[in-house]
Amino acid sequence: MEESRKLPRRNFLKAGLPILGMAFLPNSVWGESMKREKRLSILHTNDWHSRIDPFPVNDPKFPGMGGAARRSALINSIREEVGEVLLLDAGDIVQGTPYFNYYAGVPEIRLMNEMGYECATLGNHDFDNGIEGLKKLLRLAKFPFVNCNYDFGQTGLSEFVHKSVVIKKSGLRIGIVGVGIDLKPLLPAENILGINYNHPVELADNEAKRLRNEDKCDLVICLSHLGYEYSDGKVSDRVLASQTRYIDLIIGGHTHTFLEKPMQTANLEGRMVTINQVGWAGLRLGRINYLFSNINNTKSGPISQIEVFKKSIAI
Amino acid sequence: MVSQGPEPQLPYEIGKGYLTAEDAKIEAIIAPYREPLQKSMAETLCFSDASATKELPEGSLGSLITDILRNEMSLQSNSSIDICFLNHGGLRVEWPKGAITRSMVFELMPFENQLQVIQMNTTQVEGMLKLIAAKGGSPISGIRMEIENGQLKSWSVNGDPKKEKTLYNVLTSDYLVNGGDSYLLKHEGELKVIPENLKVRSGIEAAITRIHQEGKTLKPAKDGRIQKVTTP
Repeated sequence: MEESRKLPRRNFLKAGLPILGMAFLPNSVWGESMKREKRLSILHTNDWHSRIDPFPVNDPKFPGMGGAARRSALINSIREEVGEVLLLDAGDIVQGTPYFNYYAGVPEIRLMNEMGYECATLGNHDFDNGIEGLKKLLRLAKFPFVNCNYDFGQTGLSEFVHKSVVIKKSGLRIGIVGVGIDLKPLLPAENILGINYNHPVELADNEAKRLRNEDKCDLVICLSHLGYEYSDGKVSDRVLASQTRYIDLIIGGHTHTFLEKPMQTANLEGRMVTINQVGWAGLRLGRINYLFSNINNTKSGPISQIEVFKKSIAI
Repeated sequence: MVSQGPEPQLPYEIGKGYLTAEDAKIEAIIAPYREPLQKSMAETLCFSDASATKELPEGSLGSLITDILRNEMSLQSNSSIDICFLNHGGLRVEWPKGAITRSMVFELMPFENQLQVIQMNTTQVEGMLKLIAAKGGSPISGIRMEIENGQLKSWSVNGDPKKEKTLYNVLTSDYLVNGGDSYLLKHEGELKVIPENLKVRSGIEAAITRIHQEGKTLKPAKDGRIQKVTTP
């Protein structure tokens, strides 16, 4: 039932991939026959790095850009446009401005609570105030954190960090698993005492398989703080995508990569996995739209349209 | 089958910048955190003649920061610091032309890392520079070096190509001394902590405050201290 066709807009996926329709159709366009379609807009950030205020107006790279109040206004405007969204973050929420030096991440988490974040993963800088510092933030967060490749041992962090979660949204079941980078080369030993890093690929795929087969998820997302890609072949989002079978979408961070559009990598089954990352500092908001079609009892999909807002939060 | 419908209309142009309103609820949460910091963080500590940018193998920001730290710590410790070395990834933002505020110092160096001095012999310094060459360059002061295909081709310390000095004082951060940035600094030199418990950030603030008090400005520039060369 899938129909491939070329779309002229550059922000759409290129031809060759099944493009199933538009995610922005106003409700009136959808007739009664369209009732079996389910839409999902995923919004995401990564590497906030305590960027609560915009960059200074004379900043060489990002003059006057960013800022949590504008970030939130943009997210709200998309909520008004499409109804429900799924709002996610891929880690390194803290460290980078005096807010973190003085308030240890509390305002960042309070802001994310208010903005309606629904899930996040841990970045290496989220351990900058050690395990106890992180626990204070996890207690404050009103949304779950996910990671499946850190063995938290006796640190008590496993009370706060789940291997995966299932979020019900727009009549869909969304499975979200998390993976993180090897912390040892990046942090003082005392900050991560008792945490063991495991290679993420197999663990993430096992968790994704369980989400799909046992939890009957319609979509499996991996929130990753591995980094987009490395020249030395170190495990990254590209590696993760190509060596797994059950992940549909990887939302990444760590390398501060400003992808011009979400990238596609074939997995072990030959299916395309989508990877996206939106730089850092909340300068961009990622947006990925899915359309699920259940017409004639065939589920097609999942990707209908993908786009990233470029410089969406600029003066 | 899905009907095509019209092109989706976005309320703004992608790539053209989009002025969003500010969410008042969010602003209300931020304000009580911002206000106590604002006065101190907005204070101008120094002025810069040009913007200072992050680049490899050599950037005007990395050269500026390592130069001023080397000078400041030489003065504070009343000893000669031969080399200052920081990691590229550890400098977190660029600095503009004009006023440099305390907030910019925090944003440049948000970490609580401390300054440390290691004494290294010529072989140990060369080993460090080989790792820097493999990484494609680094913020460094006191060194001129040439890199060819990721290999160290030639180097000198403070204009002394013969490297006759037996021990060099190398100023860096405890983060690198303790194996940070994937063990970029594989030092075997003797560790001397001078001055004690001084954060890298505090060192930078002290350096630019001194420069300003002396009526001078920052002059960030690339001077070719690290060059990538190719043998024809």
